[in-house]
Amino acid sequence: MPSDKPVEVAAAPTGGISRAAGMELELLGAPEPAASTQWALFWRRFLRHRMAVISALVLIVLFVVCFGAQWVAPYEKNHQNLLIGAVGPSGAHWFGTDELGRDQLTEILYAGQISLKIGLSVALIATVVGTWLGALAGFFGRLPEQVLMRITDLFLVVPSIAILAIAIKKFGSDSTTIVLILAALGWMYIARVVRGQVLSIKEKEFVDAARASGASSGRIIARHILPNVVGPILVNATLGIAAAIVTESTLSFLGFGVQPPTTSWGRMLSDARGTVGTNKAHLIYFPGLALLVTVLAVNFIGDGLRDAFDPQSRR
Amino acid sequence: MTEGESLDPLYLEPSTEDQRPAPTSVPLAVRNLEVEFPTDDGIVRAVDDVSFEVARNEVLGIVGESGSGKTVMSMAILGLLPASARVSGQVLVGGENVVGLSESRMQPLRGKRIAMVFQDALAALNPVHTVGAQIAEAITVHQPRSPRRTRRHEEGRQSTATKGPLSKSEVQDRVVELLDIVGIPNPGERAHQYPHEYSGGMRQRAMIAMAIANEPDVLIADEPTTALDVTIQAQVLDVLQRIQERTDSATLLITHDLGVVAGMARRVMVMYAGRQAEIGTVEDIFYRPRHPYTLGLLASLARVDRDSREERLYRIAGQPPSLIHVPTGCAFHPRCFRAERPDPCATARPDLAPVARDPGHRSACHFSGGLTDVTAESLRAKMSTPPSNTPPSDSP
Repeated sequence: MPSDKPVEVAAAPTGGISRAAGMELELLGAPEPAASTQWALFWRRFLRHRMAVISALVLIVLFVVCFGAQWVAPYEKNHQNLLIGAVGPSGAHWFGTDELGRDQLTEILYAGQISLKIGLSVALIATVVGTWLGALAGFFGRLPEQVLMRITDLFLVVPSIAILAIAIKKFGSDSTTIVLILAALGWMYIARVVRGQVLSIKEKEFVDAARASGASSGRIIARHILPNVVGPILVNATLGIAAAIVTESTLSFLGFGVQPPTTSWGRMLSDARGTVGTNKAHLIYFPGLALLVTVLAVNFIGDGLRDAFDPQSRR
Repeated sequence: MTEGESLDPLYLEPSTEDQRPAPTSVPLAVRNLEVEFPTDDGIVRAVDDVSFEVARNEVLGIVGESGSGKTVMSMAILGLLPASARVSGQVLVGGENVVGLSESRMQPLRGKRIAMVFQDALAALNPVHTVGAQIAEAITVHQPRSPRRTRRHEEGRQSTATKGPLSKSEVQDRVVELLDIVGIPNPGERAHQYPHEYSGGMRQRAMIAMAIANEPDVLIADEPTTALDVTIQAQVLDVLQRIQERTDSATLLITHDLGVVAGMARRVMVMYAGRQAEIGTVEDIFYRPRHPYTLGLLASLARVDRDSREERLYRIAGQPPSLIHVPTGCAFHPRCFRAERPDPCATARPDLAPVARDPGHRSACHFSGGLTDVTAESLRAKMSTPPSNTPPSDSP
């Protein structure tokens, strides 16, 4: 990172950058209240990534309307109108209704709560677990690394959908169980990335310097190494969100996911099987669209984060 | 080894935390230190039978080419070598041997009793934390039973100033004080800046502040000025000298710059191929060198008061040896102007023997007694004055 750039930023803290930096503080709980140039620089790069910014806005809106469905949704949850049955989009029902006359927009908003919750929780758990296992493996090397990375390999080679289906049959299919099982099968990617990063960071001189000033291994990992790996971790976490949402949908589609009356986007797709090509096809388009938009947005944000964290990026 | 129970009552080991060694003991004594690294090509003996002592308030300069074992030795003193390194001999810190000490017992010593200033301050400071936070950390890791620092600083509002450890604001005050001591202007604001916002000289000052945060007994400065330009070098050396006088610490100044040593150290140790070539006071080494390698180093100094177009720089013939295949006998003999081969130079390794009339001056040369007539001058024709206290630059 050139030393002249940050000074420039510090000298010209425009409203946009400082506001964005403030938002970042809330989001990540960044330790330094005086976080100035590093985050400002990061945000400047991120804000320049148009698709990522649009995606972030889309996601925020999606979150607000889904979790505010109680107030936003045009109808009450599970409100049925058997008289109209399944009709296409109209002024009264923007996304149409299903056979029971339930408003699809309302359904999608409530289902989104489950899908997003699962996506976020899985990514969070998988990231925390994967980060620590990867960091320990990378930092200590030798036997711990061998053990941890072979376990990682083991988890990587199991056919996850089959394991998921069996596990869900065994442990039940409420959303907590699904989250735990998905996380158990999703932490390996982050563990590998973090291990690789830690392997390179631990050779840096500031790690020696920290050790020379008496810091313990745990402190060195937590305070000196991991903050330097935040970029790749965040990027992979966002991709993890998308992957979890998709996997949950796959499971639901196969009938192993959340069970009625709880519903998710995948569940809605599953229920709408067989409507393709009929006049009830809107039942599959709209949940599919919600899924598509969410996953795309999350991936674009991941891209944006990757570019923003990459010090070589000159965009 | 479980300590305490297996100790023979007759065998008194000067260790364990509670028995602080007698105050008369030297802060740092190294005895027969050897460091070896097994590699695929053979064993690299990076430090070979090195012994020396540093007294309170003394600066020992350690001079040698790259690869002569200076840095490995300092890492060995701190116990920071990779696990593959084999260390033998003793490193006595205040009388306590720290070689082979477990990580958990070594950790409280590092930064508290032995501290180190690294060569490349930019690399040695963590780019993601403010300078102040890093100095504060050097203090807080040695706080007695310091309460777990809250991850988020804004949560740490509740006062931690109940018991022994310094409160957050006290630590902060100390950080600012330290930055002020090392001559950072505006220390209050500078503490909140990141390393990349510091200039090279300021970074090195911050490194020094970090190292002296706990007023260590032993300070190791590993090429503290090598990465800096000449004027900044002088300033940083000045800071280092003031700090050293202020804290009374035993300082190990590792450098390959003879000028730096001449300006700061009282005694000098010259290393070659992991071994001690010569050790003595600055005057001994600079005016009465008794080792051909030291003579060669002195003769090859560039001098600003000389016209280098008229006078070629002296160079020591050959290359530094590989530490896997160190020459037999005296490691320096293949490059030596005085060596007699094969006997004794290529067959017998010379002891670090006292040099007549100079107490404390020792040289590892078979012919140290016969070098009285050789000077850096005679090695380098027309050298009018010995390279004494003049650094090879315009630093004061």
